[in-house]
Amino acid sequence: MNHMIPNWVEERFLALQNDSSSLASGPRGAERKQAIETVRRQGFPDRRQEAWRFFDLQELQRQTFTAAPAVTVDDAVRRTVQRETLDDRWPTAVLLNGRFSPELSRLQHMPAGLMLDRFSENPPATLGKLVPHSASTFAALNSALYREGVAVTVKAGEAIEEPIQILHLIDTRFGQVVIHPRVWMNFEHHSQASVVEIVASIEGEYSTFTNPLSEIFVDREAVVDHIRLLRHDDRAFHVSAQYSHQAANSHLTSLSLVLGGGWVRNDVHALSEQEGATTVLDGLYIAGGRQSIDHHTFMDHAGANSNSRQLYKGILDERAHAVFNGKIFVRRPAQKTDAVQNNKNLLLSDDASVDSQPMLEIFADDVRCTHGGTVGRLDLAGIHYLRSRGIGLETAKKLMIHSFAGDVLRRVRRQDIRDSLDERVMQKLESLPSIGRGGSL
Amino acid sequence: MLEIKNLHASIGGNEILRGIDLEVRPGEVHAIMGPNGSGKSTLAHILAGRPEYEVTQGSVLYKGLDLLEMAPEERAREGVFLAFQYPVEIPGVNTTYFLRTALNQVREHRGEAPVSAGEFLKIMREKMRMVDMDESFLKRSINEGFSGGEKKRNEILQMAVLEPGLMVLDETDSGLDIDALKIVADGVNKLRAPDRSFVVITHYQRLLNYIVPDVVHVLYQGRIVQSGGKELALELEERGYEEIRERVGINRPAMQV
Repeated sequence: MNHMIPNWVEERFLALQNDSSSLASGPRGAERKQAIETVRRQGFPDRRQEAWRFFDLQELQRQTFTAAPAVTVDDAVRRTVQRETLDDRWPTAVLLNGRFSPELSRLQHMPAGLMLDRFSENPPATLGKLVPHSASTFAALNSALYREGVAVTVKAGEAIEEPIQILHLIDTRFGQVVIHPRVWMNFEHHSQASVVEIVASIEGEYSTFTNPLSEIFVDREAVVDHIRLLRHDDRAFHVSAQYSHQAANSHLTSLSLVLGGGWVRNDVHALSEQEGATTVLDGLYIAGGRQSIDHHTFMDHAGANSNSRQLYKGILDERAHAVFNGKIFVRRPAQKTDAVQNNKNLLLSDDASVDSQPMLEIFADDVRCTHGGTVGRLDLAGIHYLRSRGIGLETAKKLMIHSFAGDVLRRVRRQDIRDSLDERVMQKLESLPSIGRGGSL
Repeated sequence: MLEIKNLHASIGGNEILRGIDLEVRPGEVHAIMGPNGSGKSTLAHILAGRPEYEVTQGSVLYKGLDLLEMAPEERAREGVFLAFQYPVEIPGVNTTYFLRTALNQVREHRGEAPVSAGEFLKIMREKMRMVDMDESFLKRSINEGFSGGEKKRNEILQMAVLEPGLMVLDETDSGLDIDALKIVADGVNKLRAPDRSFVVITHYQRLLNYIVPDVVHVLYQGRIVQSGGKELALELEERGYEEIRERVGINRPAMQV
């Protein structure tokens, strides 16, 4: 069967192959060409494939995107950077339309033990090593077309006090553009760090496509807190894949916080390969309008005595739709695995909907794995109780909904990060018609 | 303070209250007693504005205001407080934050300045002593994992913080052992004041040994069938509701004959 890829992708591929000065001719040329072949062979997925059943690929296929041009740093860009950055004192890499911006990044006075760099044709040796050949077409598309990536390395035994920020901005002012952010993170043994990745739009009127691919290497005894915050506008398409690998006794927390984007699909693959690793995969998605937010997690236990905890929560208003597809996979050697997965959803309107699909696949015989999923409405008895103490309807609803989201935010260890995220969560909640002024029960 | 006239109410099409008349003056404590299903809790919920109940006839005035026209939060801000029979657990909402939000919304309505977190803590500490609660309570989610006694003490604590004009206690004694009952009653008694009234709803006379009422009403099949002084409660305790039925001339339902 001949799989379809959109014309704009094929045209881009042809342009690359015919242009001797282009990406395809650099040192990474061979890998890029291979990735192009993968995209051509596999084609874009379609909804008949189980993993893409709920995602509106047709809408994506209908669009035409061009390679994002370089962006001039103007007031709008500066305002966006200022608005989206959690803290302007932290080490920060800013990428505009897939290009590293030395002007907006903050890389001076880097703490000892931290390396935060851009790369293009001279990537780290292990780039792509966590991305399996069976990865989706979109991951291959990223490998074929990414322009500049960000590499984070924390040296063995170093604890980096300040969180590391990576800000990817896509400019929606001048056309339907696509970017392929690439992030590679390597936490050497016994290191500790927090990383916040933020993906957002520079306000404009065009629909855009962001297609990130990230790899996170966590060596033995390292402790890593990772947050991925999405703040696109609701015309944006976003399809991401994240691959993490953990060595013995390491600890990785990875939170996906989705507060924006029209069509969002996040795949989170976590391989816990060696003994005694702990993995926390959390998620919080808040959506209204016709937003569609999909998360697919794949928790892969290969080492013995490891733990994983997943808590994904969603708050959906209007006609928003969400998917949580969570798989826990326990390989034969992974005895004494302790894996818990939970997905809880709060629907604020009759038209909002969610598809929650937990899956367990277990080949070891001595494990403890539990999963659960709930979809509920606001607790009216609780709201009445709050009102009976003088709290207005709007505040009562906000309190209840905010506390629902709080379960996830409370798991963020650093208070400064937690507070900044909470502020953005509140802002998103206020924008939902069922919560903001004029909402009713 | 409270003036109820010919109040009829139903839930899901079933008429529960069939013409209640009740007047409570400032400073008075009224007890409402009656068997299960007589409409006691319905009356309490209607005063607090619970949306499931439909008032089909009659009026309720509180300090001259038409209570039935007001949203639950407006009633609370004006000073109507219901201590719930079954306080609701709200996981994730911190008790201190909740109560400070409530107090500040009430104060805003009264035209008073909001209290700061520090000031509020002082108020809380003082009021918590009154109902014998320790500080760990401040950090817990509303009623989450509370024992029956803790939930009831929490209701009285909220009442003490919000300082309402009319306090309705809905079977606050149910599920309490004698020590907890004394603490709760003691808390209520400390709140008694010339400008504050109480409606104490209870199945048993026991609570009224500690919260001594000025008037006792007997509610039966949605109507107040008898009113009297505090000795009426003792009579009821002695003779049971059976005797009341006969005395007021209401036939027992056919099924129970």
